[in-house]
Amino acid sequence: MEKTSMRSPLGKVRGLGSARKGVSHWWLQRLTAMGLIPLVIYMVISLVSAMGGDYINAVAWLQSPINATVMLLLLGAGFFHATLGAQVIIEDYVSNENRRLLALVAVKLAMTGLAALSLFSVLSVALS
Amino acid sequence: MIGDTTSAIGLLATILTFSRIDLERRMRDKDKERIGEMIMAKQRPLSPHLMIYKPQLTTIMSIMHRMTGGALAMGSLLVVWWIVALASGAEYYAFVQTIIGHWMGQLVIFGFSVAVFYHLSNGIRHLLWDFGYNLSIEGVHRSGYVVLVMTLVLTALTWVSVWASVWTN
Ligand code: HEM
Repeated sequence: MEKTSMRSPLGKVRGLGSARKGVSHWWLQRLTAMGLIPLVIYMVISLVSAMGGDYINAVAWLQSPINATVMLLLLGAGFFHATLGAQVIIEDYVSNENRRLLALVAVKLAMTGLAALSLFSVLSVALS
Repeated sequence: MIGDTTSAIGLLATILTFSRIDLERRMRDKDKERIGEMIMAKQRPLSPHLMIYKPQLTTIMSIMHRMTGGALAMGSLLVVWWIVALASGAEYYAFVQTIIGHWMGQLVIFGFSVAVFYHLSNGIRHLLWDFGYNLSIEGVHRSGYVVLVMTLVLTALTWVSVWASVWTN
């Protein structure tokens, strides 16, 4: 008797299978989400209580080691989480394979660039 | 001459508009017919058809998580801008501060804060589902209402504190 297969006929013909990246993507989206909870809450409270100052106050605020560290972690985890999220949205809505690849590459490059720019800027203020 | 050209363009635009409306109507009718045929032939469409499916708390809140996630990703551009301004010096930072202080800037930040609090609250709801909580129909609805209330409360709390903070600083 033939072994029962869970694969669809179309799946068999294409023979592509899974790229084995799904679990890691899913897990990293959760991991970054869990990390973002305390980071976002801290940042909102810290920003709100520092509100209303000028440039000098803002620089002093970002030079505090805790604020700077939370900001770096928030930007790192946030951009990672947003990139993973944007990937899911693009894979859901862009059905044309060429355009999908183009969109994925563009979003990942842009997110990496923004992350680098903002992390560098935080460091340059915090260490000045 | 100009009058003739204008009316010719107007006539053309009218014809184009009406033929387009008619085309769209016919396409909708054809879609409905096709879906009807598929249902009769028991080759039912695979996913719930969003134009036919009744909007519910679950579906609306689900798409709102995606929309707020996307909005936050776009809004991160503004956060980066603010940080880069801070790193660029007092003059440029003062310019950005006037934009932030303008009522339109405040409106954008208010919208951003609503997106943060909705996505944060509903994100926690998502994580609780992943741990196996609130998976019953009542659980899904109850936690959905909790998320809506939490979004309101956190937004209100934040903006009341902002006014208090600006007042005292
Ligand atoms: C505040 C803490 C946050 C938590 C707890 C959180 C939680 C989550 C969770 C659990 C998901 C997966 C939802 C799913 O599988 O459908 C998700 C998706 C997403 N998140 Fe977040 N998130 C947070 C912050 C952010 C931030 C700061 C951004 C953007 C900069 C963001 C952007 C996104 C995007 C774009 C998605 C994909 C939406 C989708 O697939 O429909 N999130 N978030």
